[in-house]
Amino acid sequence: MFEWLFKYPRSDFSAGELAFESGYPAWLLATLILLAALIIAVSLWRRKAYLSTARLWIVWLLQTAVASLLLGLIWQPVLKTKTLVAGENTVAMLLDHSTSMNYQDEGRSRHQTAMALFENLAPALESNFTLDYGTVGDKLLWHDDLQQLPDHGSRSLLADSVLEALDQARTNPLAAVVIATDGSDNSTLAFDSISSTSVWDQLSTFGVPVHTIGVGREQIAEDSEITGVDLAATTLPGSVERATLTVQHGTADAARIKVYAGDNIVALKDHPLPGTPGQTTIDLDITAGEAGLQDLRFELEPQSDDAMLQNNNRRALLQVKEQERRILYFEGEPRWEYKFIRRAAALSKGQSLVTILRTTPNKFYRQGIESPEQHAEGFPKTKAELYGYDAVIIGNVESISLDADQQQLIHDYVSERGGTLLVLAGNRALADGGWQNSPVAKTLPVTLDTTNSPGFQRIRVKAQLTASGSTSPVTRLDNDPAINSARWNDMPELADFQRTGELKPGAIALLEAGTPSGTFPLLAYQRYGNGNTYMLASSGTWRWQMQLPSDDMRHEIFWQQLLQAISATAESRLTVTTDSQIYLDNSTVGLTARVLDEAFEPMTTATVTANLYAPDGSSQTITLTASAEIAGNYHATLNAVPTGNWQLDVEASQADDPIAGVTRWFSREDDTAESYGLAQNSAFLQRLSQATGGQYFSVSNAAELPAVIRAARNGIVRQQSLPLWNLPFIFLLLLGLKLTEWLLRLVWGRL
Amino acid sequence: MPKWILALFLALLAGSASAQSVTSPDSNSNTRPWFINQHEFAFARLIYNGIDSNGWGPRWRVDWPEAELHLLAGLERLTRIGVNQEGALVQLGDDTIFDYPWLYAVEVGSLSLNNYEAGRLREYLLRGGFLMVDDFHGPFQWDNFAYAMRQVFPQRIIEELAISDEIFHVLYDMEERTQIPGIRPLQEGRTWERGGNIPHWRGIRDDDGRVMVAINFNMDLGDAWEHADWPSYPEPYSAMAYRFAINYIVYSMTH
Repeated sequence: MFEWLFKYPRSDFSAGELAFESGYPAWLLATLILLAALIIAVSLWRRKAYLSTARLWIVWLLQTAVASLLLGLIWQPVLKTKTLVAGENTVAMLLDHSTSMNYQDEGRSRHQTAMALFENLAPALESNFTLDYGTVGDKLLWHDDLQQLPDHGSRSLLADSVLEALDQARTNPLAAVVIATDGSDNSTLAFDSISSTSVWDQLSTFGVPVHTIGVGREQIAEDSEITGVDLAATTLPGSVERATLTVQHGTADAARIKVYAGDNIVALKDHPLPGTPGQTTIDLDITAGEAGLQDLRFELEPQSDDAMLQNNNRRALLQVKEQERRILYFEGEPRWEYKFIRRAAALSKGQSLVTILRTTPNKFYRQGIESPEQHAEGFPKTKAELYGYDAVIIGNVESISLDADQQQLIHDYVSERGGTLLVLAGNRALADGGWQNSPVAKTLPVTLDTTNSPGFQRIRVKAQLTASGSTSPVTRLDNDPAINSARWNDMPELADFQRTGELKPGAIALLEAGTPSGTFPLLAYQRYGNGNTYMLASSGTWRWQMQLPSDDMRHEIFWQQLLQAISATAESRLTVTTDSQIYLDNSTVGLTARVLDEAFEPMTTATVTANLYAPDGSSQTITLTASAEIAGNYHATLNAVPTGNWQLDVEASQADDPIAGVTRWFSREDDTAESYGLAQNSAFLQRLSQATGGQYFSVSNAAELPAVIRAARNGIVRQQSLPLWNLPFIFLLLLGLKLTEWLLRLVWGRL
Repeated sequence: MPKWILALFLALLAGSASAQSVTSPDSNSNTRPWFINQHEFAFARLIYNGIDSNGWGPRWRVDWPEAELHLLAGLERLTRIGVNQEGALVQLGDDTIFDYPWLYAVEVGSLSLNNYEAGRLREYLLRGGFLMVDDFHGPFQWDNFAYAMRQVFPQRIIEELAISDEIFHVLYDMEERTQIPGIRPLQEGRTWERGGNIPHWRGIRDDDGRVMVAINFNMDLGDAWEHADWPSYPEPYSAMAYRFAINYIVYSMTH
């Protein structure tokens, strides 16, 4: 209807620009319209005896409109638009030709569905565009048509392939890229947030819309899959690490997860599911064994009708190694908590406690120091002294016992260095010690106020697990949640408690203290800047140790886990990451090392080398190149072809002085990538199209695609002026105006 | 059953019950445990069943309460430790004993433990408690004390603590040690009593090498604290006795 009235598509009007082609000045048209309006008014005024004023106004309006319209047509109105030059522009038609496209959805394969779509779209597009056909799998291939295709690819490098297609067409007039796919992109880029950010940016710079057509079902009820495993890369021998699994499931109401190290089951968990298809996150605790590499396989027990068994398994490498995390503990007075924390830490091989204890106003007693001079003056005053620690504990000490620079240093240690701070309670600690006026207060997970001063009281309180605490590795006294809860319930009371303000937004309480005045945070933490801060509102956990039998290890376990939690997250002077840990059908490994100096500032002049040991025993040495974008980062790209576990020994040095060395592992697999991500990943396809200004289509509305591409006018275009004087709408409008006047006059009896 | 066997059984039963009851220093006071918790450190004195061969009353209460009152005042003045001004009195049968990681026992030459008490003391020490013993002299009293310790720890040895041991340097860097005499022998012109001429600083360590029992044999630190304000008692002995005790206390709170 629109096009019948206005001759041209609506998109022409929305994109075009109205103009007059007669060359006469526009002011003249306006003058003539005003003149016509005046003449009509005078003419009508002379006949006022026959019509009322209101009726004269209506007639004047109608006649003036007709006159204006006719005058406007004399000026030759046109619509200036751009139009694609027929045959000059190209549309890249990309078909996902990976193995996952063989999957049958409702009787036919995704490949067949996509082929049929392309056949239907081609005639509508060929009238305006040249169509270039390509397939996307483990690489981008161009074809004359899609009748003779190679074998299916073992990977789907969608984002990479689209980028390549855009790059190859850089000199060609590319109107659009159309890709029909299930969205199962298994390139590293799709899963690495940093890399993929740059990919989206790159995609948008080409200015060519990428239209995605999602093929396949978005929920496959008959298939369950582990879509991801989040697990620390390294840990200490015997420690407990939490793995977070993302599970795509059907209508089952429970999932059983088994974790294998070789043939041995090292963890097992039954987790309830909602009974409807969807995604669920499952946490699982794994106890690390002896030092060495643990090649873990997570298995989601298959449903009876599971469509794909391979994707019920995921691997992860856990590097178990002896490493000493250094914790600085500054204590303002000799007290029992200090002693029993030290004793608990001494039982753990992974933590080295360096303590500075103020025994008298003028004397510090130091334990765990490396030299007699170390910390002889008390708490560190420089970044070089403090930043080397993985965590810092502040005990019962007034804020004024540290100068302003030292307090700021603690703040910066958390926010900049990314270290973890643990503050303990005491009659000189927290608000009772004036810390609310210190920059350190900003880092704390609770507010400090003096309204309930003194907050520290030597009263017996019971530690109560919160919901977060019941699942936290810090407060896990037993792997069984029910037993864990029971073991906390029969813990002896703490010797004292310090009341603080409320939890800050974003802070998490793991333990609460039940007091006669109510329940208050006892152990809480929050993220602050790059680091974390914990607060333990008691200095009386020693009472757990003294009240429980000597062979009861709850006090020791609690402190070892807390010390591990606070010391595990700080960045080292050398950190090494690969862009993935398990490389599925991908031999390109991106290696990044980050090197920091003693003050944990980025080092740009270090020498970083990596010794790479292949599964077949061969080795090579690679020198990493300093990043131009991020100071302190060094990169290398490795080609790791043989499948199996690869070892990377990375060393950083500065002018032949060694800085640090780190060992990392990654693994290579072949013929497995396409087993994962079986359902259509519409979210990825929508993001891909949005990043480029394109649109996401489902199979059902893909027929709208040609009109959308034409309307976008991407490619070689020419300017055109579309005449508007002969629009049917104009004639109908003129006719309507005169007819209205005639009808009114007929009604009024004044023809 | 013969009457004498029944009588012996009842006597043993009464003795055991007595060992687990709470006793205050004043025989006329009630049996409420003396629990002190208003400050971090409490000086807990062990009440034990000792042999009273001279008819001087219970041996555990020797020098009480002046010895700890004087010591605690010094401890507060000389360190950052929060100190309860009064001492506590505990028995091995009291559960409150585990609220006092510091324990002092005096005249332990007369210490007598039954199996229950030996087990309680063993458990106290293994949990992290610290015991300082003082004021016993000569081979007879040593044998008696050593026997009690063998009841507590049959496998652990009592060893000499060298002057270089950390326990003598944790706060005061002590380079020499002197026999600290009790007031009575000092009045008689000697520093020793009961044949204990040579002072010994001994200890029992835990599995990690930390001293958990500090043994002051052939000396009387309690008297040196108690008589620190008595002009006739030589000040150097009191000063050294304070240093020993403060080092023991700081050690017990750091190791």
